[in-house]
Amino acid sequence: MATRSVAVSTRRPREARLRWGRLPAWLRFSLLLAALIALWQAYVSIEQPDELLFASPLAVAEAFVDGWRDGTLARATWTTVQVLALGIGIGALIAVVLTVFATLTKIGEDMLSLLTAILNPLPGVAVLPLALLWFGLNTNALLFVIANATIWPIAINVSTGFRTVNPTLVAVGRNIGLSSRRLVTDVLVPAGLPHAISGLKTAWAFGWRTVIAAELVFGVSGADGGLGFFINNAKLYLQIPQVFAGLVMIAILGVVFETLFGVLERRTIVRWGMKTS
Amino acid sequence: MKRITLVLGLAAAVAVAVLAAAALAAPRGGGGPPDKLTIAYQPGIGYAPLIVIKQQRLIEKRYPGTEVEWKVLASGAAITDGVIKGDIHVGAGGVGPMLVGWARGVNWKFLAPMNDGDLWLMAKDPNIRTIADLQGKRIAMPSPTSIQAMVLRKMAQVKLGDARALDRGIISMDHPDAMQALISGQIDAHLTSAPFQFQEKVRGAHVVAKSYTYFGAHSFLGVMVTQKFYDDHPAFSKALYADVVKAIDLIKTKPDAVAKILQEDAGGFPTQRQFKQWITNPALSYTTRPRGLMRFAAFMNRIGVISKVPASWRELVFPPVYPTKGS
Amino acid sequence: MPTSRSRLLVSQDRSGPPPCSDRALLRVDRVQLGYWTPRGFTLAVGEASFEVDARERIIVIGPSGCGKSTLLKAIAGFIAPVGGTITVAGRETLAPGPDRAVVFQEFDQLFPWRTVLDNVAYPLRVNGAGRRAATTSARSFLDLTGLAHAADRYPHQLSGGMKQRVAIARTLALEPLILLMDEPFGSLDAITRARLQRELRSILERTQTTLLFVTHSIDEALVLGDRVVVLGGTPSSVLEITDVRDVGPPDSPDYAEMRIHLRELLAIEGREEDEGGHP
Repeated sequence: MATRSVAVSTRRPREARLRWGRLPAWLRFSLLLAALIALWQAYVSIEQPDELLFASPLAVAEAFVDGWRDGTLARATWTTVQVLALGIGIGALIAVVLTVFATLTKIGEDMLSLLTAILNPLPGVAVLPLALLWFGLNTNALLFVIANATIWPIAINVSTGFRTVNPTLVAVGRNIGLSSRRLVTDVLVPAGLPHAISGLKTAWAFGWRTVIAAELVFGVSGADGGLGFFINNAKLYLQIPQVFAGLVMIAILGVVFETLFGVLERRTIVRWGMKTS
Repeated sequence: MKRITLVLGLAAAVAVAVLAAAALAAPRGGGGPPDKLTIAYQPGIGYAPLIVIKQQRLIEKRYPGTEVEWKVLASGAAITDGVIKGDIHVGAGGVGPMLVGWARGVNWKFLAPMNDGDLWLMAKDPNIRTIADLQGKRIAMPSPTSIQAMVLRKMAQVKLGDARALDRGIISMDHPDAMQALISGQIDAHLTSAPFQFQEKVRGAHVVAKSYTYFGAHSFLGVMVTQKFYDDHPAFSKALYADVVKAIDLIKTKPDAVAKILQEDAGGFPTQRQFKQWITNPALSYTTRPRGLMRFAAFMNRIGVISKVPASWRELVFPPVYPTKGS
Repeated sequence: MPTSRSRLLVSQDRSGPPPCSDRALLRVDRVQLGYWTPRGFTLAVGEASFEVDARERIIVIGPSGCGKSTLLKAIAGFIAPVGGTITVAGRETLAPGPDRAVVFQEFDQLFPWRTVLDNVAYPLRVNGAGRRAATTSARSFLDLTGLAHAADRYPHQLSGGMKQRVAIARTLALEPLILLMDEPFGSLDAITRARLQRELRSILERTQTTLLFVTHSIDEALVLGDRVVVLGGTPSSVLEITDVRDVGPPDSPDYAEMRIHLRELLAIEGREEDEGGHP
C-alpha cells in the first residue's frame, strides 16, 4: 500500500513575507512617488520629447521654485483659492436658504428636488459663456459658475441630513423642553453634521475643478489671474515647465484640502462616532 | 509566481507601453511635395493673399496628389501650438507669436511676409481718448503674445512709463468676437487690425492710437513654415512664395477681382465694394518685404517676452525673402 | 423644590402603604387614543382610567400592540388623546416637558456629539441651571448610576447597558414629577437586563421618584412595581389594576401565584410572554 506523504509548507506565513506592507504609510507613498518621478525622468532622458511639448521633472521643479520665488505662483494660487472660497461661501448661503425652505414646507422640498435635478448636472464650464454674458468679463461670472456648482451638493446633503435625523433625538429634545429654535440649533444641526460635511466635500471637489477650468477659458490677464490662468498663460509663452509646475501646484492644493477635511472630520464626526462613510 | 516578480513585470509592461506610444506619436518626414498639407490662418483681410491662393486653388492644381486642408484658427498662439504638434504645416500669423515661438525654440521662419499693417486701438466710450485713460480698463486682442499685445505694451511704455501697466486689462478674444463685444459695450477697447478696425469705426468707435506711431511702418502678417518643412519640401516652399508674390500683385493691379474673391470666400457678406475699400486702405499695404522685425524683437526682448534676439532680420526669414532687403 | 442632594438623603425605609391621596399626581381619566390610517380612524386604546400617586411605581403591562407605548406617549405629551383627559399635578399633558422625563427604548437617545457628562448636564442648563450647578448635579447622578468613571466618554464608546444608565441619569437629574420609561431594557441581554432592573429599583428607592414603566415582561413588572395596570383587548382597556407590593422575592409562592394570575390575564389575548420577556 503506497503511503502518501503530506508536504508541509516550510515557508514563513504570508504576513511576515510581505515586507512592503510592513513599512509605515509615509514611507510607502514616498517610495512610490519617487519611483514614478524616476520613470518620468527616464522617459524624458530616453525619448527626448520636444521641449515645447513635455518637461522633465528637474525642469518642472526648477520652474516651481522660481514661480514661488518671484511670487507669480503664490499670487495665482491665492487668487484661485480666494475666488473658490467666496464662491463656495455664496453657494453655501443660498443652499442654507433653500434647505430651510425645503425642510419647513413640502413645496420647498419639491422645488429643491426639481432645481437640483435640472441644474446640478450642468458642468460649470458649460454655464460660463452665459455667465460671462450676464455678469460681464469679470470675477462675478466666475463666482456665479462656482456657486452653481456648489449649491446643489450642499443643499441636497444638508436637507437629507435634516430629514434623516433620528426621531428619537428630536423626541428627547422636545422632552427636555427645547424651543423650536433651539431644537434646530442644538439637535438638528449637529445631527445633520455628517451629511453637511459630506456635502461640503462634494461642493469643494466640484468647485475646485470648476474654478480651474473656468480660469483656463476665461483668460483674464495680469495679476488677477488664478492658477488656471497661470497655466494657460505659461502655455501661450511656450513655457512648458511652468505649465507642469502649475499642475503640480493644483495637485498639492488638492492634497492640502483633503487633509484639512480629514482633520475637520476627526475633530467632529469621527470623535462622535458619527462618520457614515 | 512570486509577488515581487509580478510587480516588476507589471511596471516593466507599463514602461514599455508608454515608450511605445511615444514612439508611435512621432511624426514622419519625407521628400518632394507633402502628401497631406494643413494650412492655417486667422480671420482678417490681412490674409487676403492666402485667400486668393485658396480660392484659385493654385496649390491643388499644381500638386494634384496632395491633400490640402485649409483651417481658420482664433489666434497666433493656436497656430503655434498646431505647428509644434505637427498638425499644421503652413501657418499664417502675426510677428508677435512668430517671434515668441522662434525665441522658445520653435524652429520656424517667415516663408513669405504678406503685409505691413497699421494696428489701431479702438474704443467706443467717448471718455477714453488717450492711453492713460485705458488704465484699469478691459482691452481685447487675440492673445497676450499677439503682435497687438506687443503694440499695447509699447504704447504703455512710451505713455505710462511701464510696459506692463495695462497687462491686467488684456482679454483674449479673436477679432470677430472682440468687435461684437466692443460694440455692445462689454469691453472698453480693442487693439485690432483690418478690416475690423474699419468696421468698428463705422459703427461708432474712434481711434485712440495707431501702431505705426510707435513702431514706424512695420510688418503685420506672414506665412511661416518650420526649417524641417523647408528642408523637406524646398520646391514646394519656393513655389508657395512665388504664389504669394503673384497674389499680392493681383491685389495691387486688380482690386475689383480680388474683392470679388474675398466676398465669395466670406459667403457674400460684406459686399465686394467694402472689400475693395478695405484692401486699398493705406493702413494695410501688401508686400513680401518684412519691415520692423528687428525693432519688434528688440522691444520684446527688453520687456522680457523673449529671451534671445536675432543677429539680423535674415535669421527670421527663408532664402526666397532675402532679396527684398527687409529690416 | 428639594435639591438633588436632599433627595438622595431621603430615608430608604419605605414601610407602610403610600399616603391615600385625593390629590393623585397622574390622573388618566377615560382616555381614548387612536390614529388615522388610509382606511379611516383606528382606536388603539378604547378607554383607560387609572391614577398614580406620588412616589408610587406603576407598571403598565400588556401584549405587543395593545397601545401601552401610545399611552405613555400621550402622558408624555407627544400625542393628544381623542377622548378623556390626562393630567399631571393638575395640568393637562398637551406638550412634552421635563416634568415628565422619558427614557426611551432605543440606545441612541443620547446626543452623540456630547460627552456622557454633558448629556446629563445639558438638559439641566436648558432648564435654567447654571453651568457649575448643572455639572455638579450631573456628576452626582452619574455616580448614582455607577457611571462616574465614564463621564468624559462619548456615547458611541459605551455598551447598551451603559447607555441606558446614562439615559436614566439624565432623566433623574431633571427631577421630574413623574419618570416615564418605555420598555427601556427591551434591547438588552437577559443578564444586563436583570442587573439594571435591580439597580433601578434601588435608585428609585433612594430618590423616591414617581415611576410609570411600560413593559411586556411580567417578571420585570413584579420586580419593579408597586401596582400593575394590565391593558388588553382590541381596542385595549384596563383589564385590572393589581397591587404587587407584597409578593416577595421571585422564589416565594406569592410571587408565583401572582405570576400565574397575570399570565392568565395576558393569555386571554393569545399572546404569551415568558420570563425573559420574549414573545
